[in-house]
Amino acid sequence: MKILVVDDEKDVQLLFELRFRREIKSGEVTMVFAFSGQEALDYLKSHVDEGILVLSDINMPGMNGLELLKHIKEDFDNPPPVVMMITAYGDDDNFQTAKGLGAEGFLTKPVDFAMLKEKLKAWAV
Amino acid sequence: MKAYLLLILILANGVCAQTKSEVTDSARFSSNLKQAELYKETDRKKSVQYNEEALSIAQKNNKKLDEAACLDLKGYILNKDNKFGTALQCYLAAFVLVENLENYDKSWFSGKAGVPHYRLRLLANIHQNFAHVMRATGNNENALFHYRESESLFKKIGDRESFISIMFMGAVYIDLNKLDSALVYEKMAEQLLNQTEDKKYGCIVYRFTGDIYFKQGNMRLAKKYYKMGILSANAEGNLSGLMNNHVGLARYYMAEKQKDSSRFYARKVLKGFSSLKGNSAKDIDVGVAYEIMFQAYLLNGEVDSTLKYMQLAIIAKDSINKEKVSNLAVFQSLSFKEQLRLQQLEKEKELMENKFRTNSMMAGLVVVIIFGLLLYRNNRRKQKANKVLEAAFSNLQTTQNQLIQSEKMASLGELIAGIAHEIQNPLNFVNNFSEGSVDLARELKEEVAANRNLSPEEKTDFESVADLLIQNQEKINHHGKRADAIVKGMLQHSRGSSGQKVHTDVNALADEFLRISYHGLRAKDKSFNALMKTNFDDSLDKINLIPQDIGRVILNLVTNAFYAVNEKQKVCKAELVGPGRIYEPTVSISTKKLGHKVEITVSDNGDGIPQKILDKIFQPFFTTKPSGQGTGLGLSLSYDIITKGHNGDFSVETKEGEGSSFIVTLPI
Repeated sequence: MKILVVDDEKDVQLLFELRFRREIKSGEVTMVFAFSGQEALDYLKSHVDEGILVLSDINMPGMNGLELLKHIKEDFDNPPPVVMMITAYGDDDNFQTAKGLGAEGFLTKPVDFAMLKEKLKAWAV
Repeated sequence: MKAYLLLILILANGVCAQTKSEVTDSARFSSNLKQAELYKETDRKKSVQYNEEALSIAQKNNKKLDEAACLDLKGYILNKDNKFGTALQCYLAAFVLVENLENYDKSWFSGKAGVPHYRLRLLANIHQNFAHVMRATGNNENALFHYRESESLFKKIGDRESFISIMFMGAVYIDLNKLDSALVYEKMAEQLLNQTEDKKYGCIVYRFTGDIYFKQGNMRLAKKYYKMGILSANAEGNLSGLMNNHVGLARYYMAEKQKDSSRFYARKVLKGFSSLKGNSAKDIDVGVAYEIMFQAYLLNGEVDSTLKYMQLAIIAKDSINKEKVSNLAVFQSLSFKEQLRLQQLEKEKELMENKFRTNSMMAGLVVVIIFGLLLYRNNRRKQKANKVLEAAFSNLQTTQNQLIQSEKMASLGELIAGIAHEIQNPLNFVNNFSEGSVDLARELKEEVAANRNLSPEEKTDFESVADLLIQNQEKINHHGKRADAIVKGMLQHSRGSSGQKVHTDVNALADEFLRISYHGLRAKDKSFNALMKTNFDDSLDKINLIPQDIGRVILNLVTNAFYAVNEKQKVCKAELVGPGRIYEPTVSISTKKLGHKVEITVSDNGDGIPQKILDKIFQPFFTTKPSGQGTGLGLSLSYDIITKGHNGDFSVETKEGEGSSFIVTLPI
């Protein structure tokens, strides 16, 4: 399973690689990182045929997570990537907007990795 | 004076107009007065009788003006008899009646069909007759005044009799020996006489003019006027006027030393007296006649006749003088009384004026006081208005301050929300890196245990270091989660509620959250136990509120209460409470309907809240729990939910050592 993590904070890469160390080691999960919405879109365009799960932050400079979500859902329909939003803003507005745009999941920071892993397993099945 | 002739004319008309019935008082009055007028020169006794009858009829019918006319006539006759005093009284009474404006129509002769300006005419007449009395008694100033009054009144109503008043003014000036003035008035009177057809009383004007010329020594003109006077008097049939002119001529001839002519006219005068039948003539008396006679005889040198007439003249003059003196004495005493009365009147007038002045001053004062009161009231109103305005202003200021404060708070809230979110990001790393590190340390420990190249001592060393690492990372994670809880609480605080108000059964809601709290605590601490008491008001209807928020408030309060009783129980157990002093931790919740309000009370029998921290308990981040166990946001958040979210009241009652009650009041 290929996971694209989109966040403007570089430390996110270290954190995810740490928390998914075992899964990466065992080859269960492949991790790709993009540090802006545009970067994520570029990556997705060049890897159209791969099944990719996108984990995106919302609050980012330039294209924010919700815009990215919109683009992804509009531009890529075969196969449609699964998108989960991860944000510090766990308010109702953001949640409803993300749902409305077709996000498959919504997590709040600090990320509960145990829960995330559960969800990923559910998606993988 | 002779205005009565006119009156008679009018009276005659009046009689004709009055339906020819003498039975009516009006007709009887008219005929009586007419008779009185008729006899006033020839038979005074009869005249007086008729006049008295007319007077009583006028009095009976309240015809004040007619009464005055009778009094005027009465005065005239009395004056003729030299009864100046009583005449004066008559005129004064007549004045009172006529001068009263209210009496203007109290006469059978007033009104449209009657005599025009009847009251003024009567008044002018009375003034003239009164002036005659004054002149007869030597009150020249008074006489002049009243002649003038009558003249102006007659002139005003266009009556020719004004010339009579002028004529007599001239006479007064003759009496005063102011011959030039006298001549001016007589010429004026003559001029007026010449303008009218009616020559009545012309003889008197001529006689006065003659007298003036005689006194001035202008004998030719004196003689001419006396002659004109005699002609006129004969034409008028005025005996008294004729006699006066005869007196003038007699004196003239005496002065001219014409014996026969002087005796001739003197005799005529004396004859005139006999035809007067005892009635007096104007301006002359029988004494004068005798005097002229004896002077005439003296001129003629007839000693016997001279002596005879001299004696007669002395006797007559003596008696006339005596009478006059006594009459004058009466008059003077009466006029003195009159003066007193006038003084009294004046005093009364003055008093009235004073009274009026006092009254107007009082009125003025009252007006000023009223004005003052009005001003005072206005002032009071303004002051009140000012107070209201001040109150409104301070209210406004307070509101403004509150607005500024709430604006500050709102922006602070936004700031806090922003900060809280931004803190979430680093916390994300702290918590997750620490958690990841715990895993890594555990792996490291496993690696060390599996490594055969290491001595047991080295392994123990490595393992103990790994354990410390794990412990440290767990501590980092624990405190990171604490920070996370605080931040989440803050977010809830600043975000407010997004819930909707729905009709909710408060009793059920309270009961539910009481149980949730209790079981939550029991789940954490198995040893925890407390008595729960509920006292719900069944009459309570469903009320409009946000159930999640109110539930949260109840949960906070109940949890705090359980915490309080639990703390007390720990202390009691530690102190080994003796028998009879067993502590029973109790938390009770009750609801009560209070008119348009609902009261929810959560009570405990814990230790209560110390007075010194009572005002801090609603402050955010204030907590009495050991660090890490409470965020200090529960009551602060509850307070906001009740007061801001539901317009309710939130209060606390506490007694140290006995417990606390938190009372939430919500409007229905």
